[in-house]
Formats: sequence, structure tokens, C-alpha cells
Amino acid sequence: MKKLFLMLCAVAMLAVACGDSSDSTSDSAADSADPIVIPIHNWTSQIVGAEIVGQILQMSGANVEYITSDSGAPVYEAMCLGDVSLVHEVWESSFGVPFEENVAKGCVVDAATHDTKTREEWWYPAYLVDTCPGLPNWEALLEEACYSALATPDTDGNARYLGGPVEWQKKDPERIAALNLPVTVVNAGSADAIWAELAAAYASEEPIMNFNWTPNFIDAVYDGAFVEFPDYEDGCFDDPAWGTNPDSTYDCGNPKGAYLKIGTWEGFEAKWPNAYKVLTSINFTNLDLATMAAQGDIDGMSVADNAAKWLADNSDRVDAWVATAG
Amino acid sequence: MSEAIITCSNVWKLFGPDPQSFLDRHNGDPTPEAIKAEGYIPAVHSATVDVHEGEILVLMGLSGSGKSTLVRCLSRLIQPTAGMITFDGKDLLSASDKEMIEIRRHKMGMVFQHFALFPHRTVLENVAFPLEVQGVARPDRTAKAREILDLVGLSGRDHYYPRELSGGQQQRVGIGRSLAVEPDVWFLDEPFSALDPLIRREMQDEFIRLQAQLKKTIVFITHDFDEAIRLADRIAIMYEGQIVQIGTAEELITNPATEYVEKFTRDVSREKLLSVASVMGAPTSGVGLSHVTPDSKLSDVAAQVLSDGGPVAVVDGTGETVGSLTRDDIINALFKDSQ
Amino acid sequence: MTAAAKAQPESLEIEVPFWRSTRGLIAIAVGPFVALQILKRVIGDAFPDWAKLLPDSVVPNISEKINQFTDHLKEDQFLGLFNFRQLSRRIAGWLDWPLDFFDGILRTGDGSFGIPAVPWVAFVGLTAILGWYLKGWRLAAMAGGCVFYLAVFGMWDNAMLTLGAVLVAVPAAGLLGFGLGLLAAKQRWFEKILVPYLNILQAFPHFSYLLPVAVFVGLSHKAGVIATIIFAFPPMARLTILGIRGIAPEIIEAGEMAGATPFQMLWKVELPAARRALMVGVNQVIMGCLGMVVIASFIGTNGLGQELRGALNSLKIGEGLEIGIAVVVLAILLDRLSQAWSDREPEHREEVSTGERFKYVYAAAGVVVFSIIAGFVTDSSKIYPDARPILDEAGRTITNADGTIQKLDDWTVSFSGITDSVIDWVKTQDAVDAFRDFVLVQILLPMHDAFVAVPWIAGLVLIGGIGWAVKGPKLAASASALVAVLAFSGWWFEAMETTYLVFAAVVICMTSGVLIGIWASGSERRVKLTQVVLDTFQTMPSFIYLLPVIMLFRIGPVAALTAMVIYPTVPAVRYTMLGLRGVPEDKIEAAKTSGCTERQVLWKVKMPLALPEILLGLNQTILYTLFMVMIAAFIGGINGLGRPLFLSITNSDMGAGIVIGLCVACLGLIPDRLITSWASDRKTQLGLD
Repeated sequence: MKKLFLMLCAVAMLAVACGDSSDSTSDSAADSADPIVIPIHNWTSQIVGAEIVGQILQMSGANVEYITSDSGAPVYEAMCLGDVSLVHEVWESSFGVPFEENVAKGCVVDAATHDTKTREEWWYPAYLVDTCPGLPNWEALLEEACYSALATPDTDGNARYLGGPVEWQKKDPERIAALNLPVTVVNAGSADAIWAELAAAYASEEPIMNFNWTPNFIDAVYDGAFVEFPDYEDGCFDDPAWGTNPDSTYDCGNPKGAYLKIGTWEGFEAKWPNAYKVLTSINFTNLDLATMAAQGDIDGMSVADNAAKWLADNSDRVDAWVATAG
Repeated sequence: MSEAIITCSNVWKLFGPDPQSFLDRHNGDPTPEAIKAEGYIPAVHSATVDVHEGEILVLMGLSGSGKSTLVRCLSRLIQPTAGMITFDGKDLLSASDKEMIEIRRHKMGMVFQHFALFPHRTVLENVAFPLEVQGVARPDRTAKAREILDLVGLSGRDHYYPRELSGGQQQRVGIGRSLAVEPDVWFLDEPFSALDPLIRREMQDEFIRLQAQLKKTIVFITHDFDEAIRLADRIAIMYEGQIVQIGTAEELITNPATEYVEKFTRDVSREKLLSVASVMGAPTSGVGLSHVTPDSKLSDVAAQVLSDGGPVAVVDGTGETVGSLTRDDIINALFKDSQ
Repeated sequence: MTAAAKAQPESLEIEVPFWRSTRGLIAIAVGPFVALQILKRVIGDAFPDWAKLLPDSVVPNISEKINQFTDHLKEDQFLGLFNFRQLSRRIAGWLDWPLDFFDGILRTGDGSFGIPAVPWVAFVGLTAILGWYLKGWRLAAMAGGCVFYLAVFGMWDNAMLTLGAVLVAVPAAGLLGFGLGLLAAKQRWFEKILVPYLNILQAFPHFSYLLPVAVFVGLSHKAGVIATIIFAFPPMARLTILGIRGIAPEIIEAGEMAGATPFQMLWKVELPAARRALMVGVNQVIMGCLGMVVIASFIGTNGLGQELRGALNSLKIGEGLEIGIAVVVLAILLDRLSQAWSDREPEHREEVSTGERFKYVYAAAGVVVFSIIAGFVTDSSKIYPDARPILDEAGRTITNADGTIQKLDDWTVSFSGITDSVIDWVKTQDAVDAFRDFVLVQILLPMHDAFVAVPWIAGLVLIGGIGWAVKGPKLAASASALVAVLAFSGWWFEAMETTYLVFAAVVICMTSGVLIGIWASGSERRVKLTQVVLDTFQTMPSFIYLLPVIMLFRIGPVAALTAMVIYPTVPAVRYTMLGLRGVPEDKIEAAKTSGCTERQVLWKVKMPLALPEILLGLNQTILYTLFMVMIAAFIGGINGLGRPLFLSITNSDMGAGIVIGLCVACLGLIPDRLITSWASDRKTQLGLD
């Protein structure tokens, strides 16, 4: 037994001793040849944007590698460890919490902020107003005519709200409880699952309420609006006393005009100084994201085609970004 | 009588929760009732037997009688619970693992009931296996294995795999493998019982031929009394782990120690087994011209005696008349039980 | 023939207690459920609240403890040198080398030595020759065809990534399982530790493997490979134990009598003798790895899994199906080749001419030479022409550096358009909606309400009672202990929500599975046909089953149920066939000579004798259903343990992840304990062992 323990210790020491030294950064100005790792998540603009960011970084001479991953806490933890080099779409109301946590720890850098202003909220098609006249005010959902029209057999009389994938960390159940809404959340597995259901419902004007965000392609295709919950203010998410329900947090909507950021691993700048300059100059607008989403979700372009088209259409801006490298 | 190669005295093998302390509690000699009462299973019950150089000792008993366990104690494949076993004068039970490996590598060979051939090795590689583990160089062990294959009548099959051979042929390989190291003692654990009757007979003949050539010391296990009679110098009959009687076949038949032995011997063809000497009467007058020798078997002389009508003189090698044999003597000997 | 040999059953005519008879079994299965419903009606809310759902105050906060421990492993240094996470990440780093190695061979080549990756032409040819060598021209055609499919459907790059991952994961999982199994086979005390651990591990849902790896290794290609290894090794360990223990004692004795040292014994006797079981283990490892590499894409594994998930996210059914088939093709390729290898019985060789003897080598050399020459003629022989990723206004062209425009070859094909239009047509049919609503309202919702109303104390008593009836107090204790784990985990309500869906799915799977199994055992030809279909369904990545249903049914329980039922039907059919075909011929002859009609033979003789086997099938079906219900949580719309499990991953909440994983394992282990115990007793009674 003792021998075994000693052996294990020896193996452990060896493991640590012979670990590769790729984590160490070089002082020279040239970028490391190690690939920059870009994560791919599960909504169109992010997937296409990852390809675009990757190609731009490649133009500046970097090597790039993609990995698919959960978009929640694990990817921020991975960025903290350097497994993932950057996240180029940090949505405030979805991933603000894990992102800021890691920034506070110091292992993730808040590298840049896009011009894009984002909002993620419950959304409904315009024709729903006939059934729920009070919309967009959230209190319309408290009317029986409204929530029973939105009910389906599996929601036990409640309105059915089609939420995004669980990993997007929306606090819908918390909000429903806080505002005492007669609503049941059904989480879709992916964004496209929501769009598919929306398309079917919209065609036959069936009542539906689903998760949506801006910038997205939805406004270009469907007539509809976000539900207006009590405006988000500091304290709503962590102070029960705030808001209409004094005993509960989350008694408000998601932040409007929220940020969209680029985060990097703390060692990014030292390891790939040129690429860092290029990356931090990249700036997507609401139109950019909406275009990427529309090209994919409406026109059905493949990711590669979509990215190529966007790069070609925006070659001036792209060239300027690439030029920031020394 | 020649020297004993293996001596085995008061060997016990008990299965159960804690056999060692159980034996100690009963001073090493528990009664069958005590054993049963405490839930132990006596696979070998105080067995004492010697194996003499050059003899064929047959361990004979029904399944579950402990004969296989005993032979595994003798080769120390199983560690006996108690008792004493010497091999070549050395204490076998205190031999270290290393010493045991040496002993098995050079002095013991064993043949198994279900052949126990290595399915992934050719016939040649199977036979050469014991040499291989000793580290004999490939050319040498191949040459030796071929020699053995000749001996057991399998030349030309070197590169077959066991699966491709008949049962009889497989056991020839098993025999060949056990002989590869030219062992002093040869254990055979029911080597022919998995074979068809005709093949079995053939293999027995083959075995007798081999033994005539090799003159090994042999411990042979069987549950077939006819086989025991054909092959044995001495037979040890086992019942519930105990050796109930040791003797030549003739001794067992003419003088069974227990009812169990008698039941066993009842159905054998006595005429082939009993010698004239064991049934003849005193020399008497009125014998005819013909005579028989005392060591002839009854089956060989029956026709002669029966056709002669009167008593026949029994004359030994020196020409002296040692007894007489009548028709009634024969009938009594052969049909004793039916009276 | 030791006296300790297993005692034979004394006689087959012994009185069979009612509870262990077939009728008793039905009573056990149905009775309590009915009883519970009556109980509910009669005494209504007679159960006190604590008996229904344990209050939070008594639920031990294990998750918190696990999280604290995880943080300790992540952050705290031990021996003042390094923390556990650093250690695990370093060890994981060792996988980079073999991964790069295979990636180099299969995809990227080696730049520093100027060695290119294996051209697809050569790969097709060499695989075919391997098949030819192992079994014959049929396997050659199949193996070559499989590889060719990957090229033709434009999967080459991703398939090679996945293949590379599998080629690393299979030996690693195999060696790990083999090493642990060997130690367990040699040391009883280690077996006692290992086997219960394996039981739990094998009942863990796939997703439970992801989070610990993500936390201690990170997100990367190799992290997924590690999760795959951990997922796939248990069957190998089990079969190693089985194989080594199953060697005929005589073979071991023959080795000992030859004077083999312990090492020689292991190397020259035991391992070759256990080869069959070991190869079955390798085969299961291969299947496990391919099942997991798709799911491992959640933590960064590249290749087909990543593509499939992409297709699934964007609801591209045709494309997803093609990728899924590519996974099946890889599985079939590796399965058939390894199977052929393990089936190869050694055979003596007649003397043959040199040409005959080295024909495989010559053929392989021929392929290599051909592909080198072809490589000089056209690049298309090296990299399969696939222009899909590149777009230009004028179609599939690229603009060269000198300004000339070059049209790209594209040899890939796809049937995704056809699949998509079929699905599009089906989903516009009104009957689909009507069917969905009927199933939901009439069947699933009442069942849901019944299940979630079960108080944990009733579940405990119920399961304990069944255990007692089946085997006695010991089984009763262990089975109800598992129920207690569920109750005290704090996830009882969610567990019952999962159970209800599993129950519904199992009923469907067993009914259809047994019927298909009866039909299939009718003739040799049907057996063969069914085997092929079953193999295909079983090797399909389980995600595939999610695709069509989200298109057909709105996200919700019916969609989940539909996605869940195909995969677990496979073992139901398999074991029914196994049971029916395993009925001894003499019993059937006896029934026929007694004047039974075909139908009577089936129901009066074959089915009762096949029942233990069918129940083992039920056991597998339940386990598979549990895996599927977890995966179905991915398409959303169902409650139960799946959603919080996903949430635990996305929140990096190790504690919740492990506790929920354990709950799922308990749900699987409860029926497993009861059924295997009943089936093995019953088999002994029937003398079928």
C-alpha cells in the first residue's frame, strides 16, 4: 500500500514536471504560432461571427482553432484557464454573471465592447394583441383570456412560453415566480427549434410567445414586439426588496441596451500581441449581427458561405481592422 | 518392492469456512459426523498412500470421491489442509513457489480429462510449451517436440490447431505435452473418460505401449473399473474422500475390504481377472493329462477345464503340481454372487 | 471436480412459490401500481407531507459538500506544489501526442518532414485489403465501401477527426478497463471495490461524464476524448474479469504443471485463453466510444459530433441524417473489422507458393504505389474534391493569386434535399397534430399526474415489497435503499417526472419489441434481416433520433417520447429473439408431438421458457430509455432530471451534476437489481443455465 502511494506520488510529480511549457509566454513581439482557440455556440450570429473573427485573425497571421462548447459557465472557466482564447459575443443578460466573475478573478480580460446594443426578452407576434389587448405590458398575461389562449395541453392551463436552451441561463422560472405569472416555461434545445415553431405558428396565426433577442433576423421577417416587464435596475437580480415583489429577486425584465463584449484569456495579449490589437478593433453593429443571422436563418446559407459573404461585403472595415496589426 | 517416490500420509483437504482451526480443534482427526455437522466438505479424508517407482497406481472412485483433489494435492496444485507429502524424499508441502516451479518443470507431468490444450497454439507449440517456459531455445524445443509427436503418433500434424483435431488426437497432444520434459512422475486425471468407448480402448492400448517403452511412475485416475484393471499395478479405491482399500485388482475382488468395494467389483468380468491360483483347490488325484499354470487367468483355461470334465492339474513353472482346478471351482468363482 | 462445485438444483419438480412464477411476476409488476391508485383514491391525502416529499431541512446538502471539495481540488495546493486540477490537466496533456499523431496520419500530414496525410484513395484501398485479409472479399467490399461513403458524402475531414479521436480513445479505454479488470480478477478485495463502482458508472447518464471532465481538464478536443475514455472503459473491465475467471481450471493447471512463472502464466496462458471475452470487451469499447464522441462535442470534441450538433441546432434534418449515417458507417467499419479479427480461429496453413503467401502484402503495396502515382496525376486522388465550403458569385469557383478564375470540382453527393422534403410534407399533415394531442391529453398527462403523486414512502415500501417477494429481505433492503437515495437527494419529484416518461416509453418499447422479436424469430432469414436493422439503429448516434421529432411534433412530452422509443426497442427485440431461439429443440418437439398448434407452441412453451431472457431485455430497455430521456432533455419541453442536469453543466455546478447523475443511476439500478435477480433464479428453476 505504501509502495503504491509512493508510486502515485512519483507519477504525480513527473506529470507536473514534464508538463509542456506552452502556457509560458514569450517576450518577443512576434505572435506565438500556437493556435488561438475560438468557441462555437448554438445561435447563428455567434457561429458565423466565430468564423469571421477566425478568418480576420488568420489574415493577421495567427493560427486559429475552433471548438464547440456550452455557452454558459464552462466556456468562461475554460477561458480563465486559457483553453479557450476568446469569446467574441458576451451577451450581458445571458452571460454577464460568469463573465464578470472571471474578469474579477483576473484570469479573463474585458477586451472590447461592440457597438451593438442588445436586448433579450420574451417576444410575441403582433396578431397576439387581439387576444391579449394589454400587450406589450406584461400584466396582459395575467388576464385569463390571454394566458388560456397561450395554453397547451401540457402546461396545465398556464400560458406556454417557449424559452431558449437551458444553457442560456435565463432566469425565467424565477421571474415567473416573482411576478406570479400563470406561465409555464418550455425550453427549446436550440434557437432554430424556436424559429421553426414560430414559423409554423405565425403561418396560421396561432398564439405563441417565445424568446427572442435583438439584433436578430426576426424583425426583418415577422411583425411583433418584446413584452415590457418592469425595467431592469441594479438590485433587481440580487436584492429581494427591489421591485414589485418585496420578497423576491428577478421581478423585472432583462436589461435593455445591454452590452455585447469581447472577452479574452488574460494571457492573450502577451502571447499574440498583434492578434490582440486586431481582435480588439473588431466591432460589430446591430446590423452586422442581424445580417449574419438573416443570411443563415432566412437565406439558408452555410456558415462558410455566410461568413465569406459578410467578409466580402464589409471588406473595407475588415481591412482596417487587420491593418491595426503592426 | 521398489522405493516410494511419493509418500502421502494423513493428507486432508477440507472445504469450508476455516478448515485449519476446525482440524486443530478435533486433534487432526474429526469424525465424518463432526465434519458434516459443522458444514465442512471433506474432499480428501486422511489419505495415506505411497507411489512406488515404476508402478502404475490407479486412483479409482466415483465422481466426488476426492480422487481428483488427491492427485492435485500430490502435485500441489491444491494445498492440502493437513498431512505430509514427500516427493523424492523432500517435503513437498514446504517447498517454496520457486521450488515448486522447478519440480514441475523437470519432474512432473500431467494429463487432463478435457485435454486442457492451449487453443491458440499449434500442436507443436502445445507440446513445446513446458520447454518454452523453461527457456529452452527454439530449435531445441522444436526438435524435442517433434520427437514426442512421433512417439504419440501425431507426426505430420505439427501445425494444426487443437480445434482441428479429433478428441483422441487432442489427448495424444495432451499426453505429448506432459511427456515433453521427461518427467519422473506422470499424473493422468481421467485422461480417456471424455472419449468414445472405441477410441478409449485404442488409447488405453496406446498408453500400455507407451508405458512399456517409458516405464514411468504413474498416478492414474479413473472412474472406470475395467480401465483400472487393464492398466493398474495397484488400485486405490476412494469413497467420500477416504482411501478405502489399496491392492491389486485380484486382491480387491477376492478380498474386498468393505461392502462398497465389493459392490464396485461385482460387475467386473472375473474370468479375465482371477488367476487359477486364486480359485484352485488342493492337488488331487484323478486329474487328466492336460494341465494349466497357476498364473493363467480363468478365461484362458475355462474351455479346457470345462471340456475335460474332471479336475485339471495346476502345474507351476518348475513342473511341480501345486493344485487342481475343477469345473465347480470355476463356476463358484465366477458366479459367487448369484448363489 | 472439487467438492465445492456448485450444487445442482435438487429436482425440477420442486414447488415454485407463486411470487416466482410467471403469473406471480405479472402480479408483481401490475399489482402494486393498481394498489397504489386505489390507495390514492381511497385515502386521498392521507399521507402526511413529509412522507410525500422530504422537506428541504432534512435533505442533506451533498451538492454543497461536493462543490466545496471540487473547489478545494481546483484551487488548493497540496504538498505546497500544485493543485489537483493542475495535475489532472497535465496528465490529460499526455493525450496530445497520440491525438496529434493520428491527426497527422489521417488529416494534416506532417509538415516538418513533408509527409502528407494518407490520401483517400489509399485509405479506401488499404481498408479493403484489411477486410480481405481478415475475412474475405465481402468484408473487403464493405470496409472499402464504408470509407468511400465518408469521402463521397463530403464527411472526410470530420470523419477523420472523429476516427482519430476514436483510435486514441479505444486503446486507452481498453487498456484502462483491462488493467483494472485484471487486477480485480486476481485480487478479490479489489473486485469487491471495483464491481459496484462499475455498476454505478454504467448506469450514469452520458451527460454526467461531461462536467467533471470540463472542470478538471477543461474544454478541448482532448477533454472530450477523456470523457469518452471514462465512459467506455467499464465493459472492458467487466469482460476482463469474466474472461480471466472463465478460463477452464484445467487450462490454468496445465500451465502450472508446465512450471510457468506467474508472468508466463498471465502472458502465455491466461490472456490467450481469455481472448474471446477480451475481444468482446474491445468491441463494446469501440461502440461505447462512438456513442460518446458525439455527446463529447459538448465539451469541445471536434469532428462528426460537432457537425451533427450543428445540424441539429439548425434543424437540418437531411444533413444531420447524413452525418449520423457517417457515424454509423465508422461504427460498422470498426465493429466488423474488429469482430472479424476476434472471430479468426487460428488454422494451420498448407504449404503455398510465395505469391499466394504474400498476396496481401503485394496488394497493399499495389495500393500504395497506385495512390502515389495518382497523386502526381491529380490532387483529387489525395483530397476528395469537395467545393461546398467555398462560395463565389459565379458558383463553385475560386480566384487564383494571378487573377484567373478556376472552377472547382465537387464530387460530393447528398440526399439531404430529398429527406427534407419528405419531412416537410409529413409535418403539414393534420393527423400529426391530432395524434400528438391525443397521446398527450389521453395518455401522458394522466400518467404524469399519477406518477408525480407517488409519495416517496410509498415508493420505498413498494419497491421493498417487490424485492422481498422476488428474493427476500436482502434484496428488499438494497432496492429500497436505492429508493431512499432518491428521496433524500431532494430530487424525488423530478425523479418521478422522469420515471413517468420512462415508464411510458418502456411500455411502448417492450410491446413493439417483443412483437417484432416474435415475428423475427420465425425464420433464419428474418433473423438476419432484423440483426442488420438492429445493428444500424443501435450504432446511430442517439442524437439522431431527436431530429425528426422536433420537426414533427411541437417541443414537448410527445416529441420527447417519440425520440425515446426507437433506440431502446433494440434490446427488447434482441433479447426476445435470443430467448425464443434459445428454447431447447427437444422442448419444442415435445410440444409438437403433443399436438400443439404453432400458436400453442409459442405461448405455452416458447414464451414461458424465453421469459427470463426477455426480462433481461426489459432491463436493458429501461437503461437505454433512461439514457434517452436524458438526451431528449436536449430538445427541451420535458421536466424531470434532464433539465437540471443540463443546467448543472452550464452552471459548472459539480455538486448538482453528480447528485442528479446518481439519481438517474438509482432509477436504472432499482429495476436492474430486481429483474436480474428474478431472471437468474428463474433460469435456474427452468434448468436453462
